[in-house]
Formats: sequence, structure tokens, C-alpha cells
Amino acid sequence: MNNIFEYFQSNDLLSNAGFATRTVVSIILIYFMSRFLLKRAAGQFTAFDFVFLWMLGALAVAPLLDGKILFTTTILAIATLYLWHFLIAWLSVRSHLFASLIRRKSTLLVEKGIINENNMRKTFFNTDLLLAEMRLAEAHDLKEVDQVMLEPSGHLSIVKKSKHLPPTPVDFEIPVPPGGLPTVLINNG
Amino acid sequence: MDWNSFWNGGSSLNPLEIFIRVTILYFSIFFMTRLMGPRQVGIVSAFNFITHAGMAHVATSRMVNPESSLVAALIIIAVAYSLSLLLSWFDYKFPSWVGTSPISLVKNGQILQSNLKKVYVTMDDLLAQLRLKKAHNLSEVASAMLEPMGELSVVKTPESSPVTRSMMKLPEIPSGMGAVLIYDGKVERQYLNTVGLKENWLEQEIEKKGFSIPQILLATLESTGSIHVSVKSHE
Repeated sequence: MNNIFEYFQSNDLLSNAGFATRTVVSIILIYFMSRFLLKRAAGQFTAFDFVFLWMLGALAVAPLLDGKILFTTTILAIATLYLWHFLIAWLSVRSHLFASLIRRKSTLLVEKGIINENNMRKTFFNTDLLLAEMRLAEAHDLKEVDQVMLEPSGHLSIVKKSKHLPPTPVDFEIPVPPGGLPTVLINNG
Repeated sequence: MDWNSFWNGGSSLNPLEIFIRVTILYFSIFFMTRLMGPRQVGIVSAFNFITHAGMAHVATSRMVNPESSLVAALIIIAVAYSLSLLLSWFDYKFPSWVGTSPISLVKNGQILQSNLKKVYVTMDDLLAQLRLKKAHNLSEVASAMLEPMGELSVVKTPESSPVTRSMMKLPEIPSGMGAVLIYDGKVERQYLNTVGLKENWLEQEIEKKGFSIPQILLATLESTGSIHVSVKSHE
């Protein structure tokens, strides 16, 4: 029986048992990495967040692809990625200037029902795509739309004209109960 | 530190060299994805996703593999993202190349079987997608179209759609998105100038609500014309 520590040393020809042992470590590493991710990474999902997640995954499994790569190397690389990722996030909630330098801004594609061609060209958004996105947001006609904003995540937020919106209780002067979410008092017994 | 092996690859990397390599690659990917803009949605999303995934792989293998060349990685990343940008521009300029027209799957409650076969969507998948879009009965569907990005857009018949304000003969109200007037205690002067509002008018409006400008976390001009404020929490 080999010493288990040998599996974690640089090795040109790692045995199957060695790869199996390394896999256990990789998966545990991925589990802990995912625990310490920024919520943003999964929520907003900009292109960069996607690449960041992919890099973490590729680093975590690098010792499984090549026996010569050590976990110490990949853990150091992962720690460096986390350092920069958190530093940028930390700075951008503290400094408006820094945030505006590194974050993309939202772009207005339709204003008062008129397509802003200049912004469409800048963001490589063609009319077919705009109409398709509008149909998905249940705005089937440009006439119904007041504003369309391209958000940094690549999604569109669409505001319809008031004519095409359903009425709200205020329109009929119906008294409304207080809003908000209920509080859980008893959970599963 | 041996700079030649650091840039072009050598027998081993010490911890400091790994740290600097990772930092350089992280920021090169960071700026390249920013340059790409918000193009991960839409018709070319699969293409963009695969490009991003491939480049992430190039970057990581160069982070941990001492024999690989860092310079080559930076060149690969620059070339790949430039080419990807160029192809996105072609997609924008010549939409007919990639086929951006939607395909109709349901028309007036009738399933278009031949189109369904063309796009490899089964009847069960179609019904599941319709249910997710809150169309539980086929008779309610005026039209369902498969959009180029692979999602289903559903138009319900007017009878099964909610009442709109115009049907109720209600007057038009201003719609739109709120604009930011104060951000973290600072007045957005640029916006005020473009819409022709005065800063002391804003000050008075905030005072009427019983606050002063430095206390405000965010103040927005709502579409209805009123000002909504979010006050900073006391620390």
C-alpha cells in the first residue's frame, strides 16, 4: 500500500487510486469554494462572472488532468483569484467613482417608443433581437412600449405605456391591505 | 526570479510567480470580457458561452503549468476575443446569416406540427413551456413563437388577457423608470442639468420630507413626478 501522501506529489504516472484520491480532494475543494462565492456571481451573471466560475472549476480539477500539477499550486491560484475578485467587489461598493469605471452602464435602447439607433449600434443589438426580447416580455408591439433599457447583465428591462398596463387598486380607489411578506412562525412542527 | 521562464515557460514556478501570473491573467480576462459588452444574451449566446469557457480554460492552464508560456496565453486571449467581437458585429450587421426570424409553433390555438418537427420540439415540451408562461389551456394561446435565443414567446388571446387601463377608459399616466437625483449623499448635478432642475429646488423638496441631502442614500424622481427617498441607516 502506497503512502497516501505520494498521491499529492508531482508525478508523471499517477495510478488510478491516486486520481481517485485527488478527485475526493477536488470535489471537497469545489464545495468550499462555492460556499465562499459572492452572491452576485450566481445572481446577476455577467459574462465575467461566468468566466470566473469556469476558471475556478478548471483550477480545481487541474490536478486531475495532469499528475504533475500540485494542489498547492492550484489552491494558491484560487486564493489569488478570490483576492482580486473580493477586492474589486469591496472597492466598488465603497467608491462610486471606482464602480463607474469598472462597471458597464445601462443603455437606453428605446425611449418614448422610439428606437435609439445610436445606442443599438454601440451595443450590437439589432432590431430583430430587440423585437424578439420584447415579445418575450409580453410587449408585442413597439407602440405598447415606453422604454427599453439594456442592463449590464445583458437582459432587457421593458416599461410599457400606461394604456397597456393592467389597472391597479388606486385607479378604483379600492382600499388596500398592507403589503409585505408573511413571517414564518412554525416551521415543520 | 527568472523573468524569461516567467514569461515564456520554464521548469518550475515559485509561489510569487504563480501569484503574479494569476493576477495578470485575471485582469486580462476581466478587461476582455468588459470589451465584449453585454453580448452573452441573444442569438449568439452559445457561441459566446463557448468562447468564454475556452478562454477560461486557456487562462487557468497557463496559471498552474510552469512549462506553458504566459505570453502565448495573452496573445491567444487577445486574438480569440477580437475575433469573437468581429463575429458578433457580423451577426449584428447581417442578421439573416444567423437566422433571427422567429418560428411560429402555435397559431390561434392550433399546433403547427411541421414547424414543431423542424425545430425538434416535442408536444410535451411545448405544453410544458406554455404552462411555465402561464398559458394553461391551448385555447388561450393566440400565438406561440420560438425566438432565436431558444425561448418561447406567448401571446394570449385578448379574452384571456388582463384588462388594460385603456379598456377601462382610465386616463393615461406617466410611465417610465425612476431617475436618480441623489446617490449616496451626493447630488447628481449632470442629470439635474439635463432635465433643467435646480439644485436648491431639490434641497427644498428634501427638507419638506424632513431630511438633509447628506442623510440620503438614494433619491429618485419617480415616473409619477414625485420624489422617493431612501435614508442612510445610522451606523
